[in-house]
Amino acid sequence: MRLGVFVCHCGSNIAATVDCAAVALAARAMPDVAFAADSVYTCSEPGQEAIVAAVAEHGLDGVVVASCSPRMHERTFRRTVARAGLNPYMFEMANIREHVSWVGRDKERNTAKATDLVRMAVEKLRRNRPLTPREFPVTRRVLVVGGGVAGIQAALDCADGGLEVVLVERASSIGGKMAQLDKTFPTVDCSSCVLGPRMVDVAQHPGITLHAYSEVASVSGWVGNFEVAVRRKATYVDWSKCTGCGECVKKCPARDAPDPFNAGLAPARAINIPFPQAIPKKAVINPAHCKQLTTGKCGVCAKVCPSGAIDYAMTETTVTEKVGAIIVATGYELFDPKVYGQYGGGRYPDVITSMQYERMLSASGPTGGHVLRPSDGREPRSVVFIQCVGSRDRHIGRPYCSGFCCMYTAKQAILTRDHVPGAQTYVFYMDIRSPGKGYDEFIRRAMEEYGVRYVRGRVSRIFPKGDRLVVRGADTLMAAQVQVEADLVVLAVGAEHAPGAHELAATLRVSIDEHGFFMEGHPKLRPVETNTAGVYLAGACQGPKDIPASVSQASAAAAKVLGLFARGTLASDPQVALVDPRRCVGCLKCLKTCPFGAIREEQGRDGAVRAQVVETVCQGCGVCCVTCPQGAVQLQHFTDDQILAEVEALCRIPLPTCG
Amino acid sequence: MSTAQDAASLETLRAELRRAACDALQAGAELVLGWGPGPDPATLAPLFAASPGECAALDFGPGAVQNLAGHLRALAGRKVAVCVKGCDSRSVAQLLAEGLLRREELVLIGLPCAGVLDRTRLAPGAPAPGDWACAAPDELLDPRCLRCRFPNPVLADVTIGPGRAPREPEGGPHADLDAFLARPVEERFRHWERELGRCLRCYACRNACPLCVCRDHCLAETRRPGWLSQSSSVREKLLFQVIHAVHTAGRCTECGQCQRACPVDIPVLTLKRVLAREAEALFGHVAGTDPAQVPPLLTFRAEEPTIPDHGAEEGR
Repeated sequence: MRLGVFVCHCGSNIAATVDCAAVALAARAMPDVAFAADSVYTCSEPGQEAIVAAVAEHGLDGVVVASCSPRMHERTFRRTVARAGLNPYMFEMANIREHVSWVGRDKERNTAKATDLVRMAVEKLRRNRPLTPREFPVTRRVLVVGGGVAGIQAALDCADGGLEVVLVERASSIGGKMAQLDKTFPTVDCSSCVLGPRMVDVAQHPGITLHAYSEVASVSGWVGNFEVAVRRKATYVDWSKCTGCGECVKKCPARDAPDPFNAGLAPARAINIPFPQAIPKKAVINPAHCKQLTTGKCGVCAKVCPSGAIDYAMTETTVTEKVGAIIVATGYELFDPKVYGQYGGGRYPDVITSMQYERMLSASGPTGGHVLRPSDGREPRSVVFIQCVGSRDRHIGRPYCSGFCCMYTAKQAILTRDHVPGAQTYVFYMDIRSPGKGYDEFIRRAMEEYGVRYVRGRVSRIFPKGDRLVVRGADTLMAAQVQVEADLVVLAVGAEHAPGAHELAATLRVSIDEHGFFMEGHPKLRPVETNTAGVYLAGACQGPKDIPASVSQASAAAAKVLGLFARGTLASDPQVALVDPRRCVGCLKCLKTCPFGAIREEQGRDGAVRAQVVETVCQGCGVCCVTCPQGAVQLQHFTDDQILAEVEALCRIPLPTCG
Repeated sequence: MSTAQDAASLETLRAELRRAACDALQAGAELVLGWGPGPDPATLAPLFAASPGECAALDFGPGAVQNLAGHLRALAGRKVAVCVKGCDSRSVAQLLAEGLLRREELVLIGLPCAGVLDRTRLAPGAPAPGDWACAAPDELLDPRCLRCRFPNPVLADVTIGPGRAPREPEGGPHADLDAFLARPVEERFRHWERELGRCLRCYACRNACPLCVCRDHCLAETRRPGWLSQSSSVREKLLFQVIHAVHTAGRCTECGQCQRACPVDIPVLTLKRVLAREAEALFGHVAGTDPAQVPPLLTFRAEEPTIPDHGAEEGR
């Protein structure tokens, strides 16, 4: 075997604290090493060409690059090695940057450690075997979880790209948070006028199957071949018959059901269609409040329904969908302001959340678009907005900025002046964050054209005085206490993860961050991918986002899926487990431990039972390898012998004395 | 010393055992695995009876030291009857839990046990210190029998003889382990270096283990993967024992066959007992008590509620 070793300076990143030439010199003495050199930037074009040239000139069978983390450039160099005519797996990387030069200053000891890591890589490479990926067919269908604006955009983009789309929405209508909004910043255009046509597009698109009022129950399989069980919750209304006429809603005597669409501003009927533009526009019975379902005495909706769609005996059903990729667009939830006792949210009726205010501003909302105090139905003359309620506060576990509250507060303050001419508006803020096209100009308009009074400081307390509220806080620019009498207080609540995010993450086997938002593959370079192949993220489920950002990310996720499916087949990673049938005794312990269901029982021609790995399902996690007592299951490219060789290479060297 | 009454009941027990064995043969078993007369009065030897005539030699008593469950895997595919003590029945239950045996191929003849002899405590050629009806004195018993939690078979189709009470040793069943683990790690390491210095690498421990199902595919005797070398260093010997202990972690029923089989009396059972105790503490799992249970190391859960540091990755 003839191996080549290339030691990278990474400019001064490595060379400043590692003697790269000395490492290359030491490598020349290692077994099977036929060529060793150092270069300033091995990943650069001339650096890669030097590898290709050396392979040809010295007849190399394998290449070691000692440079940065494999996460950074392993793919780069595998391609280089392949270009040089070698199998891409006849390549090893020694990380002498993150593991050596960036963590130690002693050049002599760093050089010794870098040499050790190169020796390990050489010993591993000596035992490497060429590996070849397998091609497997993909199901050219995509599951979109969540039918908010991000999910709608992703579904439409995928469907327009020729894919079959399965859209699963937890609520009875798609639209998500955006459907609840009255207007959108910074253009102040009507939210439902923008979103409505897109929702209709979803309903009418022949490539989109919509499962509303449904949830993802389980996911099995792998990229290209997922099998998803979708739980269709019981609506108690046969949607194939329901025309959305709303007769049942008008006549329903149970008027105390919660109305999440109106953010709790008004109660709903037990049978309900959340809003006029709902897609699908179908009624759903809330079984906890329906008199027929709770007491067995009512049945009004069944009597008035002209199409006979009511079915009190309905139970939930599960449908199975086969898809090749999954886009998660489950959005966010709004912060519950009751955590801040000093603001009186939930205690004083005239302290409301921004979403409740949004519903009040909406012409289709419970007040018909009139701004009215919940306590007495009077029009407020003075409205106070408090920003950062549940954002940028470490003490309540919400250290992050929700990003969109500054903007929607400005929008709501502007709309207040339109709805209630002459009303005075105040905004208590910490900092104004308006980085976006036309965003800062919009804030300026609120301040300068609409006379919104911006007070920089936090509110310490809100208390009632007569039928009004007193908002007491600090004005840090004036260095003074301020006290404002308000008729209505609007809390600009921040974003938090959607309920059920943790369960969904477990179902999809994707990571979740400390705040419950889904983890992207890389914060900069893989912002819509997850670390699970075939699962992508769109919108606020990955972190707080406004509408333009959610739509952009949704289109990006759709582009990723379309790219994934562009070829009819996918190549499986050959770094998977492999059972040696001569060593397998058929105990099937591996089958029991495999978290991916990638091992199946197989009967050999001799009649004996053995384990077999399904290569396309195997994720290469290695659980089976450590479970197998005989070492009959070996993870390709990380076999016991390869790892033991690395350990031996390290342990056989006398350790340098410290100090 | 047996009295006339004991002798009578001894004969009754033997008759019952032999009848049960004949019944098993009649019911379709090809073989009955049990014990018969040994080379000396204190010893019983394994006896595989294939006919009613051979069944007439079956016997049981404190000399029945072998765990006959170890033979079952090799007889898989044939219907056999096997005599099991409490500890042996746990091996059967564990093998059933792992799907390595089929229940319908087994007839289990349960024999409640008052403890078996420790051969190292007997003088060569000494008379039998007890029999089935009359237990041997504690000081001649295998130490593990003195802390036995399962003297009665956990699984049996027919049970012969009176039930026995579990032992409740002073300081609990793990008192000796606690004392050993309280010693400093260097001292424990020196202990193993000293004990394993005698090891011949004969693998009698492995061959006697009812859970060692790899047999010809054992890691100890393969170069690919090459976990162990042929070097006779203590390091390699210790590594083999550690591998054996890890491979039986959460599975070992502490039947003690490994230690009994060791020709140079290395206390290898200690390693396995420590891991068995860990498995019990972490997962509440006692191996070989229920053929329907899932051994904790033969399943995968992303989060283990009893291993608290497992969620650390999430806080990244």
